[in-house]
Amino acid sequence: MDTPFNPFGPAGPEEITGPLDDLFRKVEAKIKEIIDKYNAGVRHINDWKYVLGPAMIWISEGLQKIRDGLDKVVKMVQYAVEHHTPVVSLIVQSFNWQDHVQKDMSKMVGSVETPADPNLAYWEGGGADAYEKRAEKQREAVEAIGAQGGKADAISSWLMTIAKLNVNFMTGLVEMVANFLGALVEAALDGATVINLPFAVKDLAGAIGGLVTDAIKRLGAIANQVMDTLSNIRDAKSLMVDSRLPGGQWPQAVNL
Amino acid sequence: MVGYKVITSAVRAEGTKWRGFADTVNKVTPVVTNATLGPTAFFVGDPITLAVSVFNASALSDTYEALRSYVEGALKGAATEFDQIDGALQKTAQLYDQAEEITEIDLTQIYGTPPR
Repeated sequence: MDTPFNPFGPAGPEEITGPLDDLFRKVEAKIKEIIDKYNAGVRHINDWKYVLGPAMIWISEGLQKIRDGLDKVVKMVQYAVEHHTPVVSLIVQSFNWQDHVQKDMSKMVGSVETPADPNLAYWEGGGADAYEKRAEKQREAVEAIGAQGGKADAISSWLMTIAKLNVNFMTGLVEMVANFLGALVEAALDGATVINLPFAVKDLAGAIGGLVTDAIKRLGAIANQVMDTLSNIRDAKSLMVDSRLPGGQWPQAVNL
Repeated sequence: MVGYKVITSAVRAEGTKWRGFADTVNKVTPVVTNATLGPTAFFVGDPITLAVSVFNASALSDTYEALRSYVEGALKGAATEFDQIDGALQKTAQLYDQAEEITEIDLTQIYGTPPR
């Protein structure tokens, strides 16, 4: 997921959706490996269950713990995969607010005040004053939507903050899944000797329990950060009270 | 001092400028109309497994929708207004031409009377 350095910020949605897609590919590939590895371990244990005899009680307990961790990881991956496409649309909309609302409106701001024909400057009197007053109100309304820090900009930045938190989340999920797989590979249940199996299961159960708990704590903090963005934008409930757009309506210049 | 003919043509050109603004807004408004996002669009994390009880997807999407529809509502009037300003300026130029001077025109004929 090497993306070129861009000092001007992301140029298009693919600069965020690309890395996100990569993270999803990684997580889906690794979760398959985890399930295969786990099933291979369980098959190996079942092959030896009569030899293992009473140790099976101990092993089953450990396996249950590993299985609990696995269930959590699988659930999180499935949930994330189901939300992949909707979150991509959030990223696309963030760019739309910037590129197709904010930019287009802000281009208008300058031209409202610049006469189409410089000879307009010779226009004086009541007619000219009436027009200028109205043009100013219109410019202010255009600015309310399209200026830097205007509404389109604020909405776009909010969505971008959420998009980046989702990328952070997926980075964390990839890490969690990789650690889980690493623990399974290290324990090598599918290759352990009958003597070693009970110990390998016990160690693995401990490792998995710890890494799942830690990862959930870290990832849960990102969920809280997503909710925190809400309090920031809610301060911007003032975004929806603006004298430049009286009552949320475009200011009227002509009342015919 | 340039003659009123030069000024009336500048006023007409000014009106055309606003027609261009109306075209821009007519392109921008559908972008905002189509920018809706459902509650699933805000987070890929499973709040149940993560045990984050404060997570509220619909609070996110409701706030977004309030902002989106606010901007959409405001923009909807813009194109009409810009077209009307164009109309008002064309009418201004026409009245100047008829009067053959640029000072005395009845502005209520051009802009109407704001509601009280």
